[in-house]
Amino acid sequence: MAAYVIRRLLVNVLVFLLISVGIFTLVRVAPGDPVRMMVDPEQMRGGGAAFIEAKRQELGLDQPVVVQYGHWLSGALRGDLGFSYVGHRPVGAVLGERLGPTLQLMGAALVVALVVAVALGVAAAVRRNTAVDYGATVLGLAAVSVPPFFLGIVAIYVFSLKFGVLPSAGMTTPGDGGPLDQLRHLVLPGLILAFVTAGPFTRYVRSGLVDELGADYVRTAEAKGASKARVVLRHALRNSLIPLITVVMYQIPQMLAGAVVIEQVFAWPGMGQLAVSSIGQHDYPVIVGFALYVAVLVLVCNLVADLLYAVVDPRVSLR
Amino acid sequence: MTASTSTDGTTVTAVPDLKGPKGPRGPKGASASPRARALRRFRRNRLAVAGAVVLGVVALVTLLAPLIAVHQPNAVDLEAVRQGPSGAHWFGTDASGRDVFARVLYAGRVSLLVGLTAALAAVTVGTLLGAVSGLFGGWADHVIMRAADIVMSFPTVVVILVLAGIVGPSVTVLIVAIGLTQWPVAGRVVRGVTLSLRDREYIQAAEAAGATPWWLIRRHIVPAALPPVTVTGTLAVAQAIMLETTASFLGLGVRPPQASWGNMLNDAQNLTLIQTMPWLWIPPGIAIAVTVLAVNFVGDGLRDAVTPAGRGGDK
Amino acid sequence: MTIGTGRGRGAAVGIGRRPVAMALGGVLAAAALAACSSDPTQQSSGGDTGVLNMYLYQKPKTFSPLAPNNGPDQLVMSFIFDSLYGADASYALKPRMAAAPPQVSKDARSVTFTLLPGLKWSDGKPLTAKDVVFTYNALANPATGSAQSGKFAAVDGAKELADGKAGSLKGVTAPDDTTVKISLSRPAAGLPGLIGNFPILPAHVLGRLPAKGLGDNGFFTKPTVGSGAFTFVQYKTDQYVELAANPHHRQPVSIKKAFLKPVTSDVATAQLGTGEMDLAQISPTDLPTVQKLKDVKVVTAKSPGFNRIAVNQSKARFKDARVRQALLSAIDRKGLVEKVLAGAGTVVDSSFYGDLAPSGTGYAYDPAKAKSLLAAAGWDSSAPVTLSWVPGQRDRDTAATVIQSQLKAVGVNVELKQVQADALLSSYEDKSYDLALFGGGNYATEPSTVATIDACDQAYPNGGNISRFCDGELDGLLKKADTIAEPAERKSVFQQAAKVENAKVPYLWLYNPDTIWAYRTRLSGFEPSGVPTNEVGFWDMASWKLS
Repeated sequence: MAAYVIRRLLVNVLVFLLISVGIFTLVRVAPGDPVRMMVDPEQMRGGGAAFIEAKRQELGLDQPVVVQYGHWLSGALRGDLGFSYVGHRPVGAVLGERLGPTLQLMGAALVVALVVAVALGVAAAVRRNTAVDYGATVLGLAAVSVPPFFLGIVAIYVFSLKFGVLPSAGMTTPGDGGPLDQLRHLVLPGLILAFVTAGPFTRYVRSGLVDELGADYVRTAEAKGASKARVVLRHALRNSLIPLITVVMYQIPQMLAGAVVIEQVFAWPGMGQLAVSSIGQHDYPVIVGFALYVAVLVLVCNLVADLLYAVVDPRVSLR
Repeated sequence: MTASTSTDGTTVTAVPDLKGPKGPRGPKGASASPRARALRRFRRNRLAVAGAVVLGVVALVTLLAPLIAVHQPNAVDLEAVRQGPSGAHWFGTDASGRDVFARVLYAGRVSLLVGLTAALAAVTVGTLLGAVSGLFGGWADHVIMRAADIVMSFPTVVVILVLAGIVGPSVTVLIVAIGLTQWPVAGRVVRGVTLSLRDREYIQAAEAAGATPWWLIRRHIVPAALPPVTVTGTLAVAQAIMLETTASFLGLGVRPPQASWGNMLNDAQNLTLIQTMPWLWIPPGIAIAVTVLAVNFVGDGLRDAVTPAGRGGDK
Repeated sequence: MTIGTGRGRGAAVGIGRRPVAMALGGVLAAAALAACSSDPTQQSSGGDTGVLNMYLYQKPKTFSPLAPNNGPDQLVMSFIFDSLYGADASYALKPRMAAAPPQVSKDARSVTFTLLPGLKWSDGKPLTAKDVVFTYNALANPATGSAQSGKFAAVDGAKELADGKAGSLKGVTAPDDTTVKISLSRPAAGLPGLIGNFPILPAHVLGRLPAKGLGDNGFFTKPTVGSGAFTFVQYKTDQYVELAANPHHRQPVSIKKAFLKPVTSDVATAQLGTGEMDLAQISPTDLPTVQKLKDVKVVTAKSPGFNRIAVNQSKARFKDARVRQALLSAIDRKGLVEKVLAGAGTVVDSSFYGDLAPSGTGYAYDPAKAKSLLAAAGWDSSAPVTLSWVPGQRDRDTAATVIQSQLKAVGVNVELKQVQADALLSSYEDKSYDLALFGGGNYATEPSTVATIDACDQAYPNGGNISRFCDGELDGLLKKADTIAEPAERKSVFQQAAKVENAKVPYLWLYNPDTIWAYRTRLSGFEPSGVPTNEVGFWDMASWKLS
C-alpha cells in the first residue's frame, strides 16, 4: 500500500512538471504581449516605445523561454510563483484570496447536490420505470441542457429584481458581512451550481442502487421479512454509496468549470473570475498559477479517489 | 455545468475499474443480429425515440435553412432594429435589424457542426488510443490509461478558457479543446472491447499470421467497438453544443457576425432584453435546450439498447 | 427614514440576526431565510447610514497615478486623491486644490500654480507645494515605473532626469508652501492641461523611498493617506473598494462611507432597482429598464471621448484623403446614433471638441458622393478591407456590422475581423490592419493633446497616432498653439487646426456616446460627468449628500 501511494505520488509530480512546462511554453510562445496590454501610448506623449521596452526588460520578457521557465521553476520550488503583472502582488497571494470563496461556493453546491441526488436517485431506483423515475431522468438531463449563465440571469431577475428576496450578486453586503448575510448571497449561485452538478450524481445513485437491489443479499433480506425501506436504506443504499464517493472526487474538478461561469454571473470573487480576467489581460504568472492550481486539484482528487476506492474495495489490485 | 455532461452519460465507463471491464455485446452475439435487437430495444424507449425525431427535425430545418428563411442571416437593416415578431420577421429582429428566424436556422448549422466535429474528433482520438492501449498493453497501456484518468478530470471549460485565452478564440480551438479533453471516454470503451477481443481465437490466429495492428484495428476492433462508441459520441455531441454556448458566454466562442446558438443567447444576456425582448433569447435558448435534451435522450436510449443487461437501465 | 448617521450599522445587524433565521441554519434553509427578511433596501446599506454604493464598471488593478491609465483605477483615485485642477462642464480647467487658474508666462516658458493655504492630508499632516514637487518628480521619472513621463517632456531638466543624469526635475520648484514654479525648456502653454489634474501624492509617506521601483510600492495597493473627499479603507478583492469620509478634506464631506463595487452591468442595473446600488453608469440598452425603476433618476452627459475608426495610412490605398472622405460619407452615423445608441450620442466630424470643431462642414450620409469620391481616387473595390475591433461592447459590435454593410454598398469590400485587444495593438504596431474600430480619448481639457493621435512624431507605439496620419500643416498649427499663452488667440489657432484636420480625415470619426448615469433619488448633489472615470476631476464628492 505504502509503495503504491509513493509510486502514485511520484507519477503525479512528474505529470505536474509536464503540465507546468506545457502551460508555460504555451503562454510564452503564444501571440500577445502583456506589456502592450498595460500601456495606452495615447497617454504617453511620445514616450510609448521606450516605456514598453523598459517594462519588458523589468518583467524579464526579453529573455528566452527556457531561461524564463528556469527562473519560474526555481522560484516555484521555493513557493514563489512570481508577481502578477496586473495586481503587482505575489501570485500566491492573488490565488490564495480567491481560493476561499471558490471552495465555499463549490462546497455548498456539492452538499446540496449530494442531498438532492441521493433523495432523487433512491426514489427513482425504488420506483423504477414510474413517473418518479422518468421525472428524475428528465430533470437530470434538463440540468445539463440549459446553460447555467442563463439560469443565473433569470434567477437574478426573478429573485432579486422582481421579488427582492435575495441579493443579486457578490459574496457579502459591503459593511455587513455577517454569517447570515453571506448565506443569503450564497443561495442563488450555490443552488444553480448544485442543480447542474446533481444530474450526474442522481443517475449514479439510481443505477448503483438498482444493481444492489438485484443482488442476492437483498433478496435474502427481503425473504427474511425485512421491510423494503429497511433493506433499501440499511443495506443497498450503503453499499451503493461507497463507489459514489469516488465519483464525487472525480466530479470536483468538473465543478470548477461550473464555478467559472457562475462566478462571472454573480460577481463571486473566486478563482473563475480571476482566471477570466487574467486571461483577458495576459497576466502570464497568474494564468500559469491558475492552470497549475487546476492541475493540482485534478491530481489530488484523482489520487484520493483511487486510494479511497482501493480502501473500500479490496478486490482492486494496487498496481 | 456543461462539463459534467460527459460524466453524466458516462460516469460508469469513465471511472476506472469500478465495475470491471465491460465487454461489448456486439461480437459475442455475432450469430443473430445484435444491431436489430438493439434497434428494437431503442424503439421501445419512448424518450429516445422522441429525441431522435426532434433531432431529425432540427437537422433537417437547419440544413434547409436557405430554403426556409426569407432573409439573409447577416443582412443588417437599421430601419428595423429590435422589432417584435411580425409577418415579415417571424421571430423579430435583433439590435442590428437582422432577422432572428434566419439567424437561428443558420446558427443551428454552426452549433451542430461544432458539436458533431468536436465529438468526432474526441471519438477518433479515443478509438485510436484505446485500441493501441488494448492491443499493445504493457507500458503503452499504462501511460495511455493514466493520461486518460488525468485528462478525464480536467474541466473542459477551463481548458477552453486557457487555450482560447492564449491562442485566441475560434471554432478550431473549441473543437481541439473538446477533442483533447473528451477522448478518454471513448478510449476506455475501446480498450475494453480490444481486451476482450484479444482473447479470441480468430484474432490470435490473425496475429500469428502476421496481421498488422492497424489492420486489426480497422477490420475487427472498430466494427466491434462501434455500438458503444456511438453512445459516447452521441453524448459528446450534446456536451460540445453546451460547451460552445458556455464559451460564447465567456467571449471565447464562435465569432460574430457568424451566428451560433451560443452567441445569440449570449447577445441577449441582459436584464432589459430578457424582460422586454423575449424573441431575442427564446429561440436560441429553446433551440439549445431542445437539441441538447434530444441528443442526450438519444444517447441514453442508445446506451441502454447497446448494453441491455448492464446498469439496470431498463427503461 | 431620517438622516441619522452612524447608527444604522447597528440597525442593519439587528435585522440580519433574527433569531428565527438563526434557528434554521443549513444551506438548504437559506432559501427560506431569504424570504424572512424580504426588504432588501433595509438589508443592503442600512438605509440611513450615509453609505454610498457606486458601480465600478471594471475591477481596479492598482491605485497609482504612476501606472498606465486604467479607467476603474482612476475613478477610485479621484475619490481618494485630490488634484490641483479639475474640469468644469465644458472641460475647461477648474481649480480644486489650486487657489487660482494657472499662470502661464507671456512667452509660454514658465507656469506657476498656487495652492490653497492650510491644505491637509487625511492623516492631518500639512499638504504643501513640496508634495506637488515630489509628485511631479515621481511622475516625470521613468525609473519610478511612471508611464506619464512623456507629459513632462517640455519641463526643464526632464531629459536629464529620464536619462538618469539628474536625480530630480530641475524645472519644478517650490519657493514657498503654496507656490509651484515650473520652468520650461520650450514653450508649452498646454502644460497645465496635461499635468494639472494628476493626483498629488504624499511626500511625507513616499518621499524617503528610492525613486527606482517606487510605483511597485505597497502603498499603491493600499493608499491609506490621501487628500480626496474620501480615504481608502480597503479593497476587498473583486468585491468592493471601501472608502470613508476624509475628516481633513478641504471641504466637509457629507457622506460617511462609500463602497465602489465592480459587478456586471446587469447586476448593477438589478441593484439599482433593489437599492443595493445608488449610482451606476448604464448602457443605452438598459435605459428602458432603469427608467421604470422606482426612485431612480437617469441623467446623461455629453462625453468628450468618441468612437472612431483608424485608417491605416501606411498603406498606399488609404493615403488619398478622398478615400477617407468617401469612407466617412458612406457611413450613416446619424442612423447609428439613433438606432444603436438609442439617440444617446452625438455625431462628430473632428477630433477637437466643442466650439473648436468646425461647424457646417460635416460628412453627411451620402453613398452617391462616396461612390464618386472613390471613383475619382481610383479605388479598387475588389480588394478586401478588414475592419478589426475588440468585440464585447454591444454598441460597438452592432456598429461594426452596420458599417460593414454600408461600406459594402459603396463598393468597399469590408471583412469583419474580431480580435483580442493585444492582437489589435500588435496590428497597430506592425501596421498590418486596414481599419480599426475603437473608442476613447479626451482631448477637450487640453486641445493640443489631439497631437497624440494626429501628429507625425506620435506614431504608435511611441504615441497614439494609430492611423499614422502625417500632415505638416496640422503639426505646425498644434506646435504654434503651444507657444501662445493668450487664451483667445490660442483658441483661434486650434480652430484653424481643426479645419485642416476635418478636411484631411485622419480618422473616421463616428460619434461621442453620451455617458448615462442612473442614481437613486436619495443621492443629491451628483452632477453627471461625461468622462465616466472622472479622471479629469469633474466631481465634487464632498458636496454629494444622501437622504
